[in-house]
Amino acid sequence: MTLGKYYHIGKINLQNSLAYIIDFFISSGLVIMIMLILIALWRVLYQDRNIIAGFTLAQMIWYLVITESIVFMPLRGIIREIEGEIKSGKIAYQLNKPYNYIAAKFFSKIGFALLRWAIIFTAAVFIAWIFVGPIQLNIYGVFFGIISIFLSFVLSFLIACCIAIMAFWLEEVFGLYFMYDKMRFILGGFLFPLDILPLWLQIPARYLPFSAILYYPAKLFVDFSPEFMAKTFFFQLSWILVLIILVSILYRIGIKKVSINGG
Amino acid sequence: MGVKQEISYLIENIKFNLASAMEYKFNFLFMTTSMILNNVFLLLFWWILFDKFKEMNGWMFQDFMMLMAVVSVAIGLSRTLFYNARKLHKNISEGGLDYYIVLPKSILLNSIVKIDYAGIGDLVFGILIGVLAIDPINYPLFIVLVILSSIIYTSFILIINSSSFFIGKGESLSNSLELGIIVFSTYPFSLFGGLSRFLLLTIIPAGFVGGIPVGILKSFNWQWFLILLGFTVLIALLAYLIFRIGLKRYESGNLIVVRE
Repeated sequence: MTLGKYYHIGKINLQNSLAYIIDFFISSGLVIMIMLILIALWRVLYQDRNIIAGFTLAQMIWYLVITESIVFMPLRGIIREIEGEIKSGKIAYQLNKPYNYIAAKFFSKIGFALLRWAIIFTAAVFIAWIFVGPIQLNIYGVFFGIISIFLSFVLSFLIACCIAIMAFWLEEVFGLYFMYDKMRFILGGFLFPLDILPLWLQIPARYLPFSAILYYPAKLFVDFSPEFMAKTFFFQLSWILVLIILVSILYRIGIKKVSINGG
Repeated sequence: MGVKQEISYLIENIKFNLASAMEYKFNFLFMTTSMILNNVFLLLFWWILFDKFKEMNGWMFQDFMMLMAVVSVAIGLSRTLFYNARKLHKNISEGGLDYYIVLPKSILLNSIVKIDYAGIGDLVFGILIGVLAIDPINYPLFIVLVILSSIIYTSFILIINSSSFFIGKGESLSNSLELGIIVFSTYPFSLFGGLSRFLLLTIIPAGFVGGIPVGILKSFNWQWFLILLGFTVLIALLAYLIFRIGLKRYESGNLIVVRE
């Protein structure tokens, strides 16, 4: 029964999210637009060279397919929801429920996030296929790449929780989200692989959680090697562990600020 | 009600909003600083790319800084004055316009005026970058161009939000198109050619928000300036008309909503 309740939470929320099917397609339209800009940008940069940082144009675009699909995971919605529950005091109603608040949130979002990811990923693949053609993918790269994308969602979710929980202390947490978003942009390898960064930035970026969310799974997908796979899972799992501890500490400290009155 | 009265009402409204922002000084400073840092990171990202590749179809880093200055000030101005324009879809679909309809003021203006702290961050950042990247002789031109660019951006936000009058819940559509115009306007315009350039000067007018004003700043051209001016008038009128037509279709609900 311990995990069974989370399975039912996930199932119900996935069924509810099917009502947002139009939203999925509009988001896919936006991803297609952004992919088209990125293809235009990289075509210009590849004008007089075949390889940049070890990537061909096609590999670069397929790398972006992965990072783009991960970036569109619905973090803002998760932050807004938890922040709203903290600010409105609704979180108090969750305290006497027979589940862990953060775990229940995770399972209520995972179905929606993965379904949305799959649709956006398909749209991005479609555009990459048309404009730069297929690339040679390693079957292990695809398989472990997908597992790694799932771990990216877990990591992104935990960071979203850290940001949202700050609502116990801050009136507005989206300032933190904006900064996180841009860190992901540069240090995460969203719009180009970390290999392009100058060394002084590249070395720290490789060890931060932002690259564990974007760079590692995307590179694993397009340029598989067993050593890189081991590194990817090591960084991802280590950061997941660190963030679980951080979220638990923040939540425990924050929840003490909730005062429940009768009525 | 005269235009003069509307403007003085608008000024009073902004003063009131600012006074309210000052009540939450820490959050105000936190949000504006976060936005400035957010933009600094974006600039750093492009600096890395320009440092590696030097130029992009004729655009240098200096041109990109001008683009950041124009777009940040234009969007910052819009979000500082009319932040609720981007929430209009919610007011339409949830019956929130009821409150404004009964007031003896312009429904459109009154329902969109609101200060966004992050918008002030954009504004400050844009001005700082503008001082660094733009020749002082061009400052008056810069001011005119960002006002036009800001009107275009705000009008576009109004048009996409007014779609809720016709299609019901238009949240996803308006959020996506808003993100679209911001993203497209912050890329070097030289990257786009053919059909994509045409689309960015019509359907999603990001070219008029960023690329065209930067082109005029780089080398003034009367023809493009007049096209920009004409487009500004056209899109502002279109936004107003669509809102007016939509308002006639507006139906109040019995949902009790708390005004934010």
